[in-house]
Amino acid sequence: MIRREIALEVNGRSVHASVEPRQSLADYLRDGLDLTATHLGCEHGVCGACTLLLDGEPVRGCITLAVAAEGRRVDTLEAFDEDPLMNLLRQAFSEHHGLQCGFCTPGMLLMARDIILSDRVASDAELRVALSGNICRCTGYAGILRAISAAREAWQARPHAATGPA
Amino acid sequence: MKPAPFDYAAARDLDHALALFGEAEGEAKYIAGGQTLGPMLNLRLSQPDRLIDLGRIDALRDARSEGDRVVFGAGVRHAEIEDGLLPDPSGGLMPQAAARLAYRAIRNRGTLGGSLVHADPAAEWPNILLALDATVHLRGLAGAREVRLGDFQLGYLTTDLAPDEIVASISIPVLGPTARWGYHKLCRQPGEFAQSLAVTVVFGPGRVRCVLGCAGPVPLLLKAVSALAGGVSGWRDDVRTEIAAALETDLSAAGIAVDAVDLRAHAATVARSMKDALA
Amino acid sequence: MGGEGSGFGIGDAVRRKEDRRHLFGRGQFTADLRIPRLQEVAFLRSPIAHGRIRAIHVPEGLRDRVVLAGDLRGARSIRAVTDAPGFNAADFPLLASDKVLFVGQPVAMCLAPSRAEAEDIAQAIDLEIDELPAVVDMEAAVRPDAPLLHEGWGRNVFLTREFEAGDLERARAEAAVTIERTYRLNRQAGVSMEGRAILAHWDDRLDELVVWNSTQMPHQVRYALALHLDLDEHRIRVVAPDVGGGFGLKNIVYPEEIAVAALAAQVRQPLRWIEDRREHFLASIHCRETLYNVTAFATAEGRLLGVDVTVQVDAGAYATWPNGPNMELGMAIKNVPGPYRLEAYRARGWTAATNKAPIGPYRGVARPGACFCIERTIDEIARAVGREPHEVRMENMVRPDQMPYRSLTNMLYDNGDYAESVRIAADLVDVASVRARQAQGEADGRLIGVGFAAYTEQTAHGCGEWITRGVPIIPGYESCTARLMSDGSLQLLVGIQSHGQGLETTLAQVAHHELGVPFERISVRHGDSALSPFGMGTFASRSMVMAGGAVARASRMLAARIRPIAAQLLQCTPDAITLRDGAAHGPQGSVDFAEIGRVAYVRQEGLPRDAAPTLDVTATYSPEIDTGVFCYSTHAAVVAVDPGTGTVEILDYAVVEDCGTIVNPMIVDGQIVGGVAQGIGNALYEEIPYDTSGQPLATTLADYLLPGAPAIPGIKIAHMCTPAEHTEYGMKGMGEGGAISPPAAIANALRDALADTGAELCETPMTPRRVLAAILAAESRIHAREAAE
Ligand SMILES: Cc1cc2nc3c(=O)[nH]c(=O)nc-3n(C[C@H](O)[C@H](O)[C@H](O)COP(=O)(O)OP(=O)(O)OC[C@H]3O[C@@H](n4cnc5c(N)ncnc54)[C@H](O)[C@@H]3O)c2cc1C
Ligand code: FES
Ligand code: FES
Repeated sequence: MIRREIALEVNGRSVHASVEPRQSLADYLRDGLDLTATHLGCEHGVCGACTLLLDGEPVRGCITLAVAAEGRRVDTLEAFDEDPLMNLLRQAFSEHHGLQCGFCTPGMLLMARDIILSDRVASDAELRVALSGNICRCTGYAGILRAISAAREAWQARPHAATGPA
Repeated sequence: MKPAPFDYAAARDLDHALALFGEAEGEAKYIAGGQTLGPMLNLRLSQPDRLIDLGRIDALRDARSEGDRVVFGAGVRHAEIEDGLLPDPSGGLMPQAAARLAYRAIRNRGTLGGSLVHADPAAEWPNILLALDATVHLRGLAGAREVRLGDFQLGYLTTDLAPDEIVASISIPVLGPTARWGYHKLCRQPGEFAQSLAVTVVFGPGRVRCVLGCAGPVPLLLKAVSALAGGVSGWRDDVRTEIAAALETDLSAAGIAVDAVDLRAHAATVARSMKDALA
Repeated sequence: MGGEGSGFGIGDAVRRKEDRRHLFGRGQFTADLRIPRLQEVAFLRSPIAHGRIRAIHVPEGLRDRVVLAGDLRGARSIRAVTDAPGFNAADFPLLASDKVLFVGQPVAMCLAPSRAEAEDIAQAIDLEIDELPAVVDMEAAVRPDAPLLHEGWGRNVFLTREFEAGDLERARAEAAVTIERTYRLNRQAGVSMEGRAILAHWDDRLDELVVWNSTQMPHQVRYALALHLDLDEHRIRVVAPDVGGGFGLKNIVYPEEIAVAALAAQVRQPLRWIEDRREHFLASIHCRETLYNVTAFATAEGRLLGVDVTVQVDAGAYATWPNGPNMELGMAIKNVPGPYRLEAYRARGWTAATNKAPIGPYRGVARPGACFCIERTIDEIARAVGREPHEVRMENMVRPDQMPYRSLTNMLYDNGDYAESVRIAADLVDVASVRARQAQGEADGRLIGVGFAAYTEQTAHGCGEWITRGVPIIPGYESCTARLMSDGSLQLLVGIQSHGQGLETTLAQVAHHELGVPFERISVRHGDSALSPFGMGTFASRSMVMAGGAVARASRMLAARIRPIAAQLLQCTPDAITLRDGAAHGPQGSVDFAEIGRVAYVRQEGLPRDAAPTLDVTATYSPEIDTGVFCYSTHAAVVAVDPGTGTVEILDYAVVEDCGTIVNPMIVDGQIVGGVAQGIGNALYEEIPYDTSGQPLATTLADYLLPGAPAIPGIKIAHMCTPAEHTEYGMKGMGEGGAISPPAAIANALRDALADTGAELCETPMTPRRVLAAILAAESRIHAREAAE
């Protein structure tokens, strides 16, 4: 079996591992590191359940190779237990019923956080488009959209919003 | 849904990539963003023996103005174009199209070069860059060469690229201040591949390139439609019937048969792109 | 009651207990479980739709990693029998060894430490199959010359049904208007975001088989495994951990699950199979594929006189366990009359076998088709008599003064005001302003239209109703063990399974309402056959009514046990005790549940002389009537169609519904919107076409479109809340309903938008291509007419 050594940073910790080149980053995190927040809903790039951050940017974990993450920083939902914006999102998702079965939720949260921080989205229609690569089969999106809007408002209204880092 | 086994090597630069290709046993394949190849590997539709990763070659990530052209490294990502961080030869056409190409998480990885090499006639860059009259610059074991995009795309998912060759960069002429464009993508949901895709670029009086995707095996440069657009001044709604007729001429010249339903849809996207370019 | 006014009782929008774990990425889906020595399973599946296996060549050295049909010991093929005259049964083998009948049918299991390696083994096997002609079209399937799928069957038909009531000939004779139409709902899939999943291992200490399974019905899975394996049921434990959506497709026991469980028991090796998305499209149940030929008769005013319908169901190759494909047909026939007063009705139908994946129940089961059939037809009647479709609807509906109303198909509509739901829906989308806007025309050249679709949905049906369906399992009850702990906290152990419905929250609300135990001190345990009393599971819009009823009863039984203890401690009579705020209150004082629990468990001397220690009761519950309670609803859609491209946008969408008493309005609205989103998928996007050789053409999410956020508009919801008379608190079931009406409402809105062209949409999904084709066909009819004049 072909294997490659890799070193990368996962959720703030450096890890070294020997992986098969064919292993996806999502599979490595799940099977190699037992980080199971990254879900697999399609394994061909469409559903967004496997969304994670690579060097701070959301990518598909299912079609990113673990070997290609050599030397990079990877963050999964597990890294955000204390993150203030993620906690606002959590509260809003619960309040607005933004999840039912919870399978799409980790991917949704990471995408939502990126949408709020990057400030690319102005209208409800744009928010829908920005979220169009994350599929939820349960909620019909209504609660998710409301939750993200509410969290965004709370985030922008927080004290020191202009200066505080994410 | 897991790939068949393969070996992997990351290339430091183009020469290294070519050397890795030269020494590989069995089928070697380049990978850039992996946003097309990744799904194909997982589905085992592609089973190479070795992947050569172009993702760490700095030279491929570059974009710069050179005289009246902008030269993009093949590894430039869709998201970088979307965010307007790079020189734009297209007067806003490329950033606008990028924003509706797949989804952000895919745009963060997928590359211009990968898209051109995959050569899907329903994809954005093969069509838009053909309308902009781009040229691709290739590096192979036998040396370097350049090809006009119109000659590069040979068939459905097929290009003029030899297996060892790498798209190094893409150069695109900068549109003049009076140039106009119109672009219309018909797709069932944002981020999906197009069902019909039309782009019209008016370079100057009488100089128009109108391109249609999805109708044939390759993006089609519509000669009769372009000539029609070059001959009218400004948009009139009654041009629509002429567009449909010119489109039929172009399609039959290309030997492409589409049914009445598809014809109606393609005529609509072509007309809309033309309207936006001329209005 | 104990929970009134607390904010956590019945009717309160309580936030869900289940949210936290998912929001921190700590949900536990089957694929997230870790267990030593685990082997992954990949299935080798038939690439051919219809054929005879000639040979299976397993490469040298891999034979001990590959399991073929003959290697499985003590495991039986699935046999799902419907108790109906003329029913044809056929065994569904766990692994095919003789014939294969659809693309994706499991043939071999391949075992390896990782899934990738297991797939390598599957790829290395050479499967030789002699191809037979594939039967792909349901109409061709039943012709006498069609190749037979199952030996011994005379025709490719699982089942035929007929029904007739009233005088159809009179209706025909009296009719001023006759409408004839063919409607087709194409094949689609259920597509839970988590696919199917199973992890099975032998627990040596307990000497039992433990099966972790992404299922909606763990107890039924246990029953099914005992039925199919040589294993006593007491040695089987089935646990459904977090389940990432079900929608009916996990309400089935499939060959893969039985094969994995059987092998784990046989080889005493932990095994896991995680369905991937392609397998989901190939071999999880499909749904919806039905064809309706309808003739309807009406007066010149639009009064419906009679309906004559033929229903054909394409069931695919096999019957799955427990119910096979056969509920579709019976339910279609029962539900075509819908909320309307109908005096003459004839229905005939059959369920054809084809070389495609088996179909099964998916959210709404048959009703989206039945609704499409009657609601499109009502619209055509309205158009034929030149009236507003929603007004014709209202006039034809069963009136409140006729309730309870026994339909021609023997369904007992219990209560409600159907026409009022239409009126409110028409208000919500403002029909008058749509008409004004239509008169003006749209600046962008699009055409807009409004459409309605109503239904009345039998929910939480009991024993008698299930018997009429001829199904082998009669899910007429639910059960609950309620356990007040020694510290006054409460556990509810229930037999349903919650996979998004929020029952960990709503069932706690019920117990809180009854007992006044603080909401945060109540936990609901479900999904584990070793923990809770036997229960049927979550499907058929039943869990809130059935399990809610069981929780209510168990809570009351517990209250009856608590009162005498409290009375003893407070020196009063039991009937003077009230329970609220976590305590029992007597005339002179209070004692909290912790003290009562302490006495009941560890200070027996404090109990009344005739009181048994512990506070642990089990109740089962069946609603007072078997015929179900009817949740009804009207949906209204406003759409814009682009006549150049056929693209449809939903501009406005309203749902008016009556599910009786609402336990948690946030969750109810969430179920409605989620259902509507799936209905919109059915209406506009989702389809698995097959080519003529029986190859499915949508096996990835790139080919099979699911509605994304831009596809689902904001949905207006209005509730009517007529309490049911025969259930606890007046609840009616409502989980499935949202998915029923959207195809019909959207098709009617398209009909309205395209009224000037005369184009109609009679087939789902209404893709841009189909919409454009309908417009072009209508245009060519107009041209032909003009040419003839
Ligand atoms: C869900 C989803 C939706 C999508 N939607 C769209 C869409 O709407 N429109 C659209 O245009 N695209 C879409 N894409 C495709 C996406 O744009 C890809 O990023 C792109 O097509 C390929 O770029 P890549 O860098 O990922 O290439 P890779 O996947 O890495 O490679 C693709 C092919 O190009 C070859 N290759 C790559 N770079 C080079 C090079 N420099 N020289 C030689 N060969 C090279 C590879 O060997 C491979 O054969 C979608 C993809 C997904 C998964
Ligand atoms: S699992 Fe990666 S996009 Fe679906
Ligand atoms: S909550 Fe189930 S898929 Fe989104």
